[in-house]
Amino acid sequence: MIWDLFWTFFKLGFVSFGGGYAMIPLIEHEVLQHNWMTATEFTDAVTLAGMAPGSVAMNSAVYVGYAASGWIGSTAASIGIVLPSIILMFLVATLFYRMYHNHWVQAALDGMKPAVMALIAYAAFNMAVHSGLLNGYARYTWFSIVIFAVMLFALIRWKLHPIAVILISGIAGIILYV
Amino acid sequence: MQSSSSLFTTSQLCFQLFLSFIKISPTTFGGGYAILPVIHREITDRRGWITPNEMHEITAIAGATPGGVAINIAALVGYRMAGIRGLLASVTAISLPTVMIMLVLSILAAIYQHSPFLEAAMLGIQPAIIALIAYAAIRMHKDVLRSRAAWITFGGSCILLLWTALNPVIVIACGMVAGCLVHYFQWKHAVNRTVRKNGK
Repeated sequence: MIWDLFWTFFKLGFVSFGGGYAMIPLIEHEVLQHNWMTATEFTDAVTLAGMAPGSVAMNSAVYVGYAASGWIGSTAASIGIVLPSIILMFLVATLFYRMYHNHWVQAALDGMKPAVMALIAYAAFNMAVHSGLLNGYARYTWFSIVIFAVMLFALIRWKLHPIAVILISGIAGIILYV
Repeated sequence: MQSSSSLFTTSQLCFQLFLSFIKISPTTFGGGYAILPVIHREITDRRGWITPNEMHEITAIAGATPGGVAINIAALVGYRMAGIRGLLASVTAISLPTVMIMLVLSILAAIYQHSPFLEAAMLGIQPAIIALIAYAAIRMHKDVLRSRAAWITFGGSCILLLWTALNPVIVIACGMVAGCLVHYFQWKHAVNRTVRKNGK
């Protein structure tokens, strides 16, 4: 069981291009196949994993591991999911810093940077769509747009610390919605 | 590799990396790209370990390789600063606190999920996370979108992402090819000009 958890998440770690929510369907498939959780339990797990700090994929691994076999399961699953990153990043880093001054590598990087920038902008857009931020004219939509705009302004203009951004908006949420 | 901070020995540097990332870790709500402003602030602004431009390169590579973006960035920064030991220190530091928090949450799941205060706070934090991700993109634009070619690559990537179901990795690969093509044509152009000049 422990080995199974480790091995499953180890394999998933290697194919998790894009990270985050892109991995959820893959994890769900494995979880259901191994009977570690039911589909409803898994949906709850993902919601919780998204709310907690850290990457969604990693948090899901911790939760699934815990549901399957307690904290030892959590440890096995999280080591499983982080190990591929360590191996791959070590290979990438060694190669990258060896070829860093090659002009073709620099040229490829020059093209990759704007593409990743687009990817980040798209991630923000996607998150807005999926959290129902752009649906209709509910109270929630208006409050959210205000929080978004004020926080973005504070980040750009006053260089507000990201931790302060999260704290302030959490308090705003409690004031607005409780 | 260990050039940047001669003030520290490698072990001291690993410890400093560990401290920095363990501090960053619990604030990575939303995961992935939302962590970028926090890392930028700690690693480039406060510590001055890595230049903004190199940070953008690290971001690009972290996005192009499998695994969580935050873990990949921590790994690359760690490796850049102190080799393999730095990589291990950074990855451990960025994962440990979130794993612990999630473990506690899994245990408390039933109580936690139905607290109205926490649900309200999470509703408030959600748009702030979107703002953090948007800010990560905005922060890059000053240094990255400097040439017309970069603007075109950015626009093309946006169009691909919005109107096709292409895997993001393919979009990054397209960017890579575009960068190489631009470089090739610039080089060819320069060669032609020299040839013409010499012909006169």
